[in-house]
Amino acid sequence: MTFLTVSELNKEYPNVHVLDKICFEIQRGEFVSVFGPNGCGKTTLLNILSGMDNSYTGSVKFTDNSIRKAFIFQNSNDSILPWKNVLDNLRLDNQNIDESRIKDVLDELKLSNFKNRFPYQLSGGMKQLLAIARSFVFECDIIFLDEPFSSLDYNMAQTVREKFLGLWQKDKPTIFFVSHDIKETILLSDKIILLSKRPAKIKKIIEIELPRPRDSTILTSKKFLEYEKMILYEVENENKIED
Amino acid sequence: MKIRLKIKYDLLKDYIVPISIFLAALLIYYLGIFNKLMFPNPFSIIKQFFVLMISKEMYSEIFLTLNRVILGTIISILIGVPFGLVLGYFTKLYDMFEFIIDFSRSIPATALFPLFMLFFGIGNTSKIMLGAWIATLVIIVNTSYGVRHANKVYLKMAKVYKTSKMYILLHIVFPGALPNIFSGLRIGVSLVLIVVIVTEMFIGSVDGLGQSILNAQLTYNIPKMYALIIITGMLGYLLNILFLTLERRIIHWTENNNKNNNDDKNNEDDDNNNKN
Ligand SMILES: Nc1ncnc2c1ncn2[C@@H]1O[C@H](COP(=O)(O)OP(=O)(O)O)[C@@H](O)[C@H]1O
Ligand SMILES: [Mg+2]
Repeated sequence: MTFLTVSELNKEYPNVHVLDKICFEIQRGEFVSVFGPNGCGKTTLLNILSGMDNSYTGSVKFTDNSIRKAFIFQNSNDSILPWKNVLDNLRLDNQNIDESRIKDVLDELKLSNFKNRFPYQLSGGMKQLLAIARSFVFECDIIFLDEPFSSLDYNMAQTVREKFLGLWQKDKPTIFFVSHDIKETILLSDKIILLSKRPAKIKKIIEIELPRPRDSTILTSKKFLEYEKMILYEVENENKIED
Repeated sequence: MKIRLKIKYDLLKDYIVPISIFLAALLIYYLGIFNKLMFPNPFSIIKQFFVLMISKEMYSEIFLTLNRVILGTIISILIGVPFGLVLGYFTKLYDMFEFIIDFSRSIPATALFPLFMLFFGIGNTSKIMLGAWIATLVIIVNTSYGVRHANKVYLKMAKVYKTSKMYILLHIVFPGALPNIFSGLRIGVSLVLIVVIVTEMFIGSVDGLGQSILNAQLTYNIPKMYALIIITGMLGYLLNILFLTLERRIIHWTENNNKNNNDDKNNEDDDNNNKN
């Protein structure tokens, strides 16, 4: 079932043409990633799709207007309110939130012992988990994640990524994920949207047909390496044309 | 040995400068550089200070002044903070009010005292209101600055999660502006004290520390005048400390105000426990 249709999406800042005629569709429950060079417009695209930025031309249509969205920022400090403890950060102003759902999500992320702590008493990884927890507590239909693990060190990123996948596999909300790590992108996604340099056009949309659940053993499988090669080829191809 | 020296230094460092000033004053007094009437024996000032404190003669005056300062401050908080929040949040409104606020702030408060006497009489009210007036302006300016310079990403987050306008104002904008609000409060309360003391010296005033200082001068009780000035200074100092303490208590999440923030080791331990 089509969930989101984007067509002829254009975005310009004064003097900078960022997005150029972007068109794609995504299905409910799909894990979609956007992959592209730094500064090509990935964050801009996410801001538009999530409704934070309304100045664009073209159309962004969700099939259902009442869907709930969540956004996980690159830096966890951006989505966590420093003056609220973990529980209040999860609830925000939502009075009729399901307490048992909060408990389940916190248990799954092993954050239950920290529910009365304040953000300054948590590590960066835990803050990012908290931001992720909120999107699941709110039972969002689509979660936008902007390079959510890039500000964490390798081990922490690994832990947070695994916990995030654990939660995702339960309700399968639609995911729109930005990364500039090829392996991470292939490992996680059902579909990868490859963007060119700015002004960003869609170069290619790749369906990743690897069986789920996936773990790190898949990183060396033949199919995985083929996908990786395909993406690397596209990236290098662009660099060559530039030269 | 080193440690003992350090402890002594820590104990002394706050007193070195005041004690030196006192000694210099003694020297000036004994050398007779100034008229001894204007510049009395520093010991007699200290004696006067303790006499005033022990005899409780001045307590009612201190109380009256303090009462005016506190009322003036409370009024300025009640008006200044909400107004500053709204002005800071709605930038168009801020643009409309910016000139008039800056202009009003530029009028020395004491120049308005005759005007306030017309409206509020020569009693308590005009003194309190004049103090409140100037502090309100300072609090509005600081609060709206805090709002305009708060982290904008929190607002984006609130937009994505569709939180109510009320939540944004009270739970995101207001706490974010608190550090600036508090610096406004601290400047505000010291301005209220200045205005109250000055207005207490005006014709028609019969009480308060300002009046007592003026009286001591008029009756040539100069040591008492100095002692009262010191008491007024202590009042201002204590009010400032009160607000600083409140600030540290309330704004516990900023770097200066909590010990936990840079305690990364602690956090890593938590994470490890968390994995198991
Ligand atoms: N508010 C803005 N005003 C002007 N230009 C901007 C603004 N935000 C981003 N840009 C420009 O748009 C381009 C894309 O930015 P961004 O979407 O953040 O890239 P990415 O997330 O892919 O690294 C960059 O060249 C950036 O300089
Ligand atoms: Mg980005």
